[in-house]
Amino acid sequence: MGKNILIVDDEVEHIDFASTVLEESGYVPIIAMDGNEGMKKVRAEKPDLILLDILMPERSGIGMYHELKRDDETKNIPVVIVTGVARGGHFDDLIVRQGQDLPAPDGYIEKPMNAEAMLKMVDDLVS
Amino acid sequence: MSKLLLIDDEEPIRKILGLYLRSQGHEVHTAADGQTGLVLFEQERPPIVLTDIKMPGMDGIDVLKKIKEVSPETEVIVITGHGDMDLAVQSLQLDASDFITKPVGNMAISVALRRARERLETRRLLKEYTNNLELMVKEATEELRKVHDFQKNLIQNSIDGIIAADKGEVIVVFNQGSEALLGYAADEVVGKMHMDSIYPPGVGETINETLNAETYGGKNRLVNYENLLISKMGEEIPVRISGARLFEDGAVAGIVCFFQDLREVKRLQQELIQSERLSAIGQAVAGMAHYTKNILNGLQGGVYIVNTSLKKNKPDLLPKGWAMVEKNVGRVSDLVMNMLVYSKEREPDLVECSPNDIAQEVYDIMYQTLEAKLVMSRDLMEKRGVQLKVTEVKLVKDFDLSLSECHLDPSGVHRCLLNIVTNAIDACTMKSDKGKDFSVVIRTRKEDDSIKFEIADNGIGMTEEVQDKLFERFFSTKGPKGTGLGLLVTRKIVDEHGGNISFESAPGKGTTFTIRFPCGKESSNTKAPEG
Repeated sequence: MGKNILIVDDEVEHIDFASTVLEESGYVPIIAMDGNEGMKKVRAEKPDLILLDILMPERSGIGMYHELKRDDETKNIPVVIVTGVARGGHFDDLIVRQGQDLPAPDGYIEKPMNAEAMLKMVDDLVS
Repeated sequence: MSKLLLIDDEEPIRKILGLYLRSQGHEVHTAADGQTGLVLFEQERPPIVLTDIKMPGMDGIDVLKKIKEVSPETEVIVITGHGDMDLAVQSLQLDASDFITKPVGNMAISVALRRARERLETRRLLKEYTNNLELMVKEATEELRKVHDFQKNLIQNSIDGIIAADKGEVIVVFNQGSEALLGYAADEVVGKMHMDSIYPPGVGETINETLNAETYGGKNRLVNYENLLISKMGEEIPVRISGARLFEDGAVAGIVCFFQDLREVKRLQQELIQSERLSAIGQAVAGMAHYTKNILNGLQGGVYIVNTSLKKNKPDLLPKGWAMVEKNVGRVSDLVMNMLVYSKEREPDLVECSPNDIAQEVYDIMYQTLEAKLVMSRDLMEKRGVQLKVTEVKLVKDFDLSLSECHLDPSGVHRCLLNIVTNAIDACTMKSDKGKDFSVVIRTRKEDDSIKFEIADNGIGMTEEVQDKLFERFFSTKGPKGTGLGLLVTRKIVDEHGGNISFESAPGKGTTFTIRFPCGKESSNTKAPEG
């Protein structure tokens, strides 16, 4: 049974692309279009990794990240942040943490995603 | 108190008066006749002399005359006998200070002495004052000379050219700054050349007209007025002129002008424009690079899926991958077309065409794009068994079907409409409240001799800040998804057509763009004159 990857994104094209690529590589994509739905899916499906878009409306991506990392049940799930522009590690961490004492995300990937780069990151984190 | 000389031939008077005066604190010298008195006067130089009039030998009048000759400021008080009024008057005419009559009372002599002392004091003060005045005049003259020298130096050493002319416009001041600016030596100019000869032909008149007008700093003044001078070598030199007509008793006495060399300023301005242009190019390149990378990622994604489809023999994946390739090829094409339009001056390629046909083409393209997205979401929902909240945008046609053909550049107009409709759809799907019924209306209308296109959306609208920057180079609210070229190019095309573009927008309510193109029929078929 393939590992579950939760894709949290509000753009249909990206969901379609990421889910196709993941599926073709033997993963099981799970989809959510905002942070609230994303948390529901986390609790219900216990994904092995989360691809989280932070550029969703109302910063729900960042809100969801904070919720994930504060909860003992979910804080160990690897999270890859999907962003329009990655400016470099430290700067991105600052944006994601929003001044909170939280661990840094496990990785960043720019949108639109490069399929190989995304798969390599996912493979490394869930194996 | 003071030194006195008392001349009297009567010894008792000398004694009594002498005693009294000494008792009053005076240093008293006495002489028994005029001759001796004058000798004593020369020795002691007393400020006050008391002399009897009637004396044997040299009388009092003579003593008075002699003393006034050598020392006019000495106070001489004459002592007359009772009834010698004529002598008293005569002595006063000879500038005696006062007279007292015999027998000399203490009161009378005290009063006479006090008056004499007062006169002496007044004269001393007057003299002191006069001396001071002379000193002050000398100091003032010196100060004036310094100021004059300073001003002369100031004028001479000013970096700005300072030129003054008299009422006949003959140059009278030509400082070093002017020498450097124009290449003439002051000797060649001062008293020899007219103001007119430092201006290129016609400029002198313009400057006089400007002096007469209120435009630059008021009548008879020039403040920061820019024009040209002509140098000895015939070079035209851009200068900033400040000057004024000079007046004396209401009549023009001349003119003075300050000329600031603008050659360096102009050169720096040129450099600034150049460096701003370079920095704009730099920004543009960075923006384009990012945008192009996005497209490339999308293309690679499509290629990846096509490859997967081929490798794994999964034909159902092929359309998905191919659609991604096509979509991104379309984006490259749009980008390149916009860049081409933006980068060069061009005349619109006007042909007879139907405005509604162009609008229809744009409608079709955008409709297909929106439709493809819906199909994709539907497939996704079906396949993954999830409920997706997708923003649907309804594209509405509102064409005036009575529009006739007119002279337009169809590809240019197409590009304008495509850019604006794309923005309108983005305004609906970009971070807005899902579930709202979004629509974009494409409207065509005839308005006088123009064709009017309207694209109205009910999306997020624009804040005033965004509206202000709307036509700035490379400004975009779409982050890496925008180039900041679309509206710029649209306006350029509209301008090239001689049309105009306007918009109305309110945050949360939506935006309406209006583009008007002149129909062009009148310009191509000019009416033949009647008759």
